Amino acid sequence: MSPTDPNDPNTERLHPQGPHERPPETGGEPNPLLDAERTDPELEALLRDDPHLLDEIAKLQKLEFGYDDKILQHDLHLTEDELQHLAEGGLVHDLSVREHLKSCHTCQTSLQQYRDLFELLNDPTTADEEQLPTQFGAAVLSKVRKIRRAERRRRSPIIPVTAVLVALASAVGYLGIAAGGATVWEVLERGSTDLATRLGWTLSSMPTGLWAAVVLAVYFLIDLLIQRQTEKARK
Amino acid sequence: MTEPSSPDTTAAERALVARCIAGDEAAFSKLVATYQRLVGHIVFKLVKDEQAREELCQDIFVKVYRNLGTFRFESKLSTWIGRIAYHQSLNFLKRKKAPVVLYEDLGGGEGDDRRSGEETAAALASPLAAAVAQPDQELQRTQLAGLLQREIDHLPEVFRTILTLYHHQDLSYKEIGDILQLPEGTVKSYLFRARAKLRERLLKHHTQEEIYR
Repeated sequence: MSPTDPNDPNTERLHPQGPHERPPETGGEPNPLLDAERTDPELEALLRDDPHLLDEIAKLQKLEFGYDDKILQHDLHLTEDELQHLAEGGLVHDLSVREHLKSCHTCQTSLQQYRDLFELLNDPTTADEEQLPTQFGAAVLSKVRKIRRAERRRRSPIIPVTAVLVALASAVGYLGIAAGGATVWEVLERGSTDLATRLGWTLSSMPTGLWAAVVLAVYFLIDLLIQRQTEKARK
Repeated sequence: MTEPSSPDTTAAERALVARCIAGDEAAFSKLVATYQRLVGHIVFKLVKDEQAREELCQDIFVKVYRNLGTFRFESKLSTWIGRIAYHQSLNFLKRKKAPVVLYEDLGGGEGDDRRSGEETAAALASPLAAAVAQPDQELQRTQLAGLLQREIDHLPEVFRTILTLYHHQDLSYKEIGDILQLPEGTVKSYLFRARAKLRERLLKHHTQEEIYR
């Protein structure tokens, strides 16, 4: 049964409208001190500044709800939620809870148990500090450095590979290296023309855009190959 | 569900993140040092495999490093890093096919009910109550802390994580909700239930001998 369960007679007795609900309209001007929705840090600050305010609220609650001594009997106790709220330093706004707590040894003990529990939970010296090793930061940094190096390796080969290819082509074309009565350049040119013809093309009919696409595709394949090797090395 | 940070914090975080993105290793080391406790708390509460969790923490920071450029400062940096840690931990558990009981019913609903006089009388005679009253507080605190940790370990993963983030990291319900992607009210409810359960288990399962062994 929940603390605000309307079927719970205990709930009704300790909190006529439930602990966190607005009191019924009783006619006349609404009294801000009885507005249960004001159980907020602002109200708590007000109460801390003025201890008499709490007594004022108590009086008004007594007038408003007609509490009598019966509800202050000790056979009903604070809920776990109320105890936890109080143990965390929350203030008692409800007259019945306040009066009950003053005189009920059981609730006082339970409250103290929660305070002890919270103290233990909050205490960093007794907490289960399964810490990361002191060299953890260095280990992370080393991992990050490795990744950066791998990424640099992945990016950089494209430029040297391009340079090597260009240099090779220039050397072959302009040095006029001979092979079988013709320069290597002429042999390569003839060979590629034959290949293209067999494939149904002629070099002259291939538009510049298509050549560019072929070159880019080759670059893309090289890049992909390098990426895969880098990933393998990282694993 | 994100919480904007204060202007000062945001400015400091922005500067730190900018330096990390620019490749400043000292800045990244500072970031790791600042948030490794948070990440450790989340990972250690979720992953019990001691061999794997340090590696997992490292991978989380590597992921943080690689994704810093996508961080838009719509939440606190801690919340963002915490969320990465939480999701990486869950992914790890899924990969390992580890049995995960994130939201097991803590049962009983005792946390919400008003307790009877007898129940509380039993609690009064309990080892926790008695232990609290003993003079040798230092030894007793250590022993109680050990018992407490054993009982925390019995809670489902999310309850453990919430307890840790609230009590050890001093995060608000909202910040915890942002990390675990749970509504604020749910976080509060889980926290209250976990603490009620902890108190109940401490009172029920530990004898005086266990405390003063």
